[in-house]
Amino acid sequence: MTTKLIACRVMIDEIRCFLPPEVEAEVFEISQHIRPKLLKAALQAAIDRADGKHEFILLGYGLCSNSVVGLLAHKSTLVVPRIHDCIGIFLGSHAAYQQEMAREPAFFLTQGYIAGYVAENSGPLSDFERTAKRYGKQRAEKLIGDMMKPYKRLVYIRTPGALDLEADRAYSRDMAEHFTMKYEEREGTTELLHKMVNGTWDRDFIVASPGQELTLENFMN
Amino acid sequence: MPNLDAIKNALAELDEDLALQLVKDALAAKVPALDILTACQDGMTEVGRRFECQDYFVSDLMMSGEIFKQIGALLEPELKAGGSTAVGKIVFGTVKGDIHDIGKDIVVNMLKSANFDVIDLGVDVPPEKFISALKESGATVLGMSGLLTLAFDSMKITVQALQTEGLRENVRVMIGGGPVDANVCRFVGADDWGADAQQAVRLAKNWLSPVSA
Repeated sequence: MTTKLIACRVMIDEIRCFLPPEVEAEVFEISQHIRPKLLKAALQAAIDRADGKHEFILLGYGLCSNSVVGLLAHKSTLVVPRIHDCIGIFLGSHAAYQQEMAREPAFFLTQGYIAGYVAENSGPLSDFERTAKRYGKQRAEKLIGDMMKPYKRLVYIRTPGALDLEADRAYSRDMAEHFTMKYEEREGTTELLHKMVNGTWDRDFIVASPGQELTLENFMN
Repeated sequence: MPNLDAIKNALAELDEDLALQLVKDALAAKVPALDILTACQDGMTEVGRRFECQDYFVSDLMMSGEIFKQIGALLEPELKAGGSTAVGKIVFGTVKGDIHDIGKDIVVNMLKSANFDVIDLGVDVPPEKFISALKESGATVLGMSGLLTLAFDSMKITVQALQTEGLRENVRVMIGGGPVDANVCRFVGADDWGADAQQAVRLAKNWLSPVSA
């Protein structure tokens, strides 16, 4: 029996560094996160297509605005990291994510975010450009400025497998400057993703047997 | 004669100048401010629908909030002058660990426009701050907002704190924010939840003015 990976674009480059070639991967855009209901429908459709054809379906997601709650495979086993989102994955744990947020509110970037934002024409800088085009630059500064105001820091998480660190740094510094945030870097980790791919499904993972729906409580306890 | 549908449509189309002018015209023609507010709420619902359909972007959502804020400022004196005293008190805030305020501000503005006395505690609000505000104000409704799923635990802890303080029986709790749904409501132990600001106003009206509900 085989394994199928359904993942967010934000982590696919890191995963590909160690993904066995026989594992088929299906990747979804980052920007789908802003419409969680649509993301959930797209993920369920992808699961339905793979259901029964593979013994295991790995989900390269976290709770992600509840997008994964209610997902179900009838014949395959679903495996998903027990974490809120990819920031926790790349910082190594939910606790590390909470600590970072408690220290000072931060907007996080990784190479996957930047690649996605550029390819999908999304993210705060694109939102700013789009707003300026439609409503004028002054309005964009107010509207998107308000949206970004809570974030005091921009934290770029360096992940193993980052393709072009200097280009990422330039993008991140540009965004930090644009929205008046301090620029910081953190060393990231892909350990959880390694464990997901190599089958070390310990307490950090939800392993849902065929017919078992993913629930909010799976992630919260 | 000002047309309420035209106001709704101008807001849905994000035509700022037209929407504001139509609201001013309607007020001048003595159209009840509450009816204008309802039309605007319908317009905001339509904006949300268009966003879900991917016709609108984040920037358009932000713009709708901005237009609504300006309309709220036009309507507020009329709603207050309408003679009705505040319908009831509501303590509101974004919970600890979450610092997002845009959604919360839209809801707070809409509740204020609907003549509720809202005590806005801001963002990153710890349970003890909610508790003291409820005790000091005597408010019987608590609204908690959160954009991050990190907010769920804080919401739950706050509801538990209400219980510990003996306030739970007298305080109705509503929650809202991007990822909030019926599952989250159950997990948190809130009384109800709102998918949008209009729903928050409906809940508040049901809870605080049972006669008109």
